[in-house]
Amino acid sequence: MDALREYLPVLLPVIIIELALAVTALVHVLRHPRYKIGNRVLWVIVVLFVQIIGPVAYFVFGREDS
Amino acid sequence: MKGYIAFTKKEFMEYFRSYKLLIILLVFLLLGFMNPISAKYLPQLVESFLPAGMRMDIPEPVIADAWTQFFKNVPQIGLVVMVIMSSGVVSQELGRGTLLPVLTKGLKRKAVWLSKFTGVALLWSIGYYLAFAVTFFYSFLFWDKTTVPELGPAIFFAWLFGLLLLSMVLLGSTMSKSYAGGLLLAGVVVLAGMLMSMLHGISRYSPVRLASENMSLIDGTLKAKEFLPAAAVAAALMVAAVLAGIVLFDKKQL
Amino acid sequence: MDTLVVQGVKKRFGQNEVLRGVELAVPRHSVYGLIGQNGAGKTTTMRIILGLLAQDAGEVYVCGERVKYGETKTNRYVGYLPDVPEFYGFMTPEEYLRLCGRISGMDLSQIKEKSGELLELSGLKESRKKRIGGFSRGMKQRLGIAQALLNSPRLLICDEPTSALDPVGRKEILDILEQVKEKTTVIFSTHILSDVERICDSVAILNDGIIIQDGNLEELKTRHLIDTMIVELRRPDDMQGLLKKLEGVKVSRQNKVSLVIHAKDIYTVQHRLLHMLADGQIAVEKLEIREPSLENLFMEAVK
Repeated sequence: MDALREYLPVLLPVIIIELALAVTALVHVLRHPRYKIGNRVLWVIVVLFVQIIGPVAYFVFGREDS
Repeated sequence: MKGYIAFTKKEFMEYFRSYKLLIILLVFLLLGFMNPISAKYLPQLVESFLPAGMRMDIPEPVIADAWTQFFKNVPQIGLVVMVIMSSGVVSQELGRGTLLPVLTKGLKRKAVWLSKFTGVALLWSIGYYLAFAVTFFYSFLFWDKTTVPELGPAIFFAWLFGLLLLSMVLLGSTMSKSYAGGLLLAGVVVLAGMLMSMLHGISRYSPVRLASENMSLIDGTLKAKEFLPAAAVAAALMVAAVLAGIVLFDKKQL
Repeated sequence: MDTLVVQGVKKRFGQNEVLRGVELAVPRHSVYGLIGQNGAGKTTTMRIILGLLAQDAGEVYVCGERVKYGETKTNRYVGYLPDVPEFYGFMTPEEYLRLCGRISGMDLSQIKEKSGELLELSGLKESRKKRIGGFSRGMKQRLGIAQALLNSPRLLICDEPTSALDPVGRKEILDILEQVKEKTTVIFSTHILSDVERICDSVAILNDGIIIQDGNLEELKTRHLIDTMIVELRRPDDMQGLLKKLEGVKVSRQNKVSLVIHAKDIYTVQHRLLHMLADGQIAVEKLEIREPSLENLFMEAVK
């Protein structure tokens, strides 16, 4: 617990950025029904559980071009 | 010239609206933060997880460790993300036929290709120097002694290597109809560079050095001028890739 | 002066000779239909006019200036609508027209005025701030026309503008083309003959890489021989008797009550037929001399 308290301020920016990526990607996944490859369930899992690379992969390979 | 500016603006509108810009900014920001943090706290973390009774001599982290992390992460993870993002920029436009209306409106083909290159080069530069700035200022908070030798050249060389790779991605993307072309050509260049590095006689000309031996500059074992042959080769290759890209693009029947 | 002149243009792709000496002269302020089957060479002809393809022989002049392959200066007189126009889906029509305007060297106030006018004309005013990515095919086609007209071209080239559309979309496009013909010369290719009859005043029939008929649509029709008459009887029973009397005339029977008569001197035959009908007290539902339609013209030309 002490360790957590000590590290939290330092790690905060990292956590915020990771969350920002995941949330932006998640919102996009949920608002768009079609994907270049894969389906909604797959992308929700990937975006939420694969850090950094997950959202990046979604925007590059999964996002359907408008 | 007007056409070039208008089309470059369109490129950035595309980056913004297709989330490319957001991803690049966030990824490089993250990498920027991670470098000093992992350099400073990883040893402590490792120590606290060691089984009781076991002792390890971990040297006190110094600022050079943050830069070690920088050169391990940014020119690799960061550049890979950048390369993947730009792998389809030319082939997609050719494949979809979106260029037909703008070209018949009088846009020069050169301008299209140069806009594409300007776009990815700027995107890379923004991301790269953002990561640099974050690492620099965070390190400033963690350590008292913040100067390292030859930081400027070390940073510049890795950036130049990134530009070279991106010019190859664009050239590959012009030659092929899919994403694969750009990735393939970039891969070939990296592989060739690695082979060059292994051969004793010509290793100093290998562009890969620019992004793999930066720490020798930071810890003072090598001087910046020893990287100049590799930098010259990289710059020459980049110019060649840009020219070849423009010439090839000019010849495409639409 | 003719807006577009094409002289003896030839083009081959490998072994395949696509154009074998195309000749065209499109007068000013006309709506010119370029008709032909798929693969006749319509798109190739248009791309050569735009300098997107290099011809093997022959010359093309737009507004008196010679077209050169590559970045041809003549394109400043030309607006082009590709058969399936593709735009940047992340842009709105307004933004796209601004991009096109900047490329063709217009200043911002000019662009604003002109694009407002064209969005109105193309019926995209309501959607001017929506992303093109969500547009239907018809909407994209209309945006394509707006884009093509942005630099006030003297020649508007449309490649099969209606072929991929449903009836409503087709009507919208034709209405727009009809409106712009006062300001610009329009040349459009198609294989839908009814579209041509609706808006074109001149046509050229392209078949197998060569123009086989061209000119004013009305003139073409009158030049064509009138030789067909359709007769429809009231009672099927009368048919046998009538056929017997008509022996020696070229007759083809359509069904129980109607027949088609072909003859060089169709009005003499009509005269004889009227006598027969009166003598035999045959009740007639319909008797018609068929006007030559574009379809007949076309079918005969490509035969």
